[in-house]
Amino acid sequence: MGKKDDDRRLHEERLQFVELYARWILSQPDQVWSREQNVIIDSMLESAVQLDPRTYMKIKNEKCDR
Amino acid sequence: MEFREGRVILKRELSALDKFIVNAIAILKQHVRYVIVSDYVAILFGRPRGTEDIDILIDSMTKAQFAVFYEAMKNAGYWCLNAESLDAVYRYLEDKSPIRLALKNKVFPNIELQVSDTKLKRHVLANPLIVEIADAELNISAIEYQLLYKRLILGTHVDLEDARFLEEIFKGRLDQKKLDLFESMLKEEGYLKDGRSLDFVSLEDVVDKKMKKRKAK
Repeated sequence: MGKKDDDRRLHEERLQFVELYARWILSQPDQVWSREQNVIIDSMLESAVQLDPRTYMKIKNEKCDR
Repeated sequence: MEFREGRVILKRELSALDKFIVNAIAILKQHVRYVIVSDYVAILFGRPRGTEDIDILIDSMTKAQFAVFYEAMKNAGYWCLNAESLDAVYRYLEDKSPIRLALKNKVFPNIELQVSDTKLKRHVLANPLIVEIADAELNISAIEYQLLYKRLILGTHVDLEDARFLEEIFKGRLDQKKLDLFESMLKEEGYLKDGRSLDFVSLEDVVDKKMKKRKAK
């Protein structure tokens, strides 16, 4: 089995998990799933290293006059 | 999650990202029509992932209108990542380039504002899905547009996962007419020149007979 097949299989598995997760969300009160989701989002934002705008815009390949 | 005609009521707890967008939109909506598109739409409905920017389509604004909005944002503690002066920032919008606004001295998270410069984007802007969240309302793009854009235009693994997630969340609620309309608009605007079409999309929840026939083949 080649790398392409592995990638396809992994992607398909991820899609199946995404579907399962969506079904779980629909089965739960909003407060329950959002509390879990917020752990991921809030920690990501807290740990983000703030770049200077010029560097960030360069990474995004967008114009910056700063 | 409560689905109503043209509206979804979410009783979710707000993340730092939600609070950021709700606060920014509270100012933005006083000055211009807007619609949130792309990654945040999936996140809003529970996709367990982050994003550092929130993409927003807006109507075009005169320089005078934009000046009032920009001043209001600066007074509320935001800065523009592209430039500082009103002239320079407005020039980006005039050139149809996106501008990014974040809280002063930060770059994450940020809102990316882009003028709706095509028939399709103007249609998306004019026909939002409204999401009630805490005491606020957010205009987000039609889910059908999100699905097509993520599957047919963007098409990365993450986008395909977002699309699959939204399909599942909105199962039985998607509108085939909207899917057809957006697909024809994408073709009209030259996005699908290489022959990509809904034929390649597995939208199990769309009950249109034509689609079922295609899939059976």
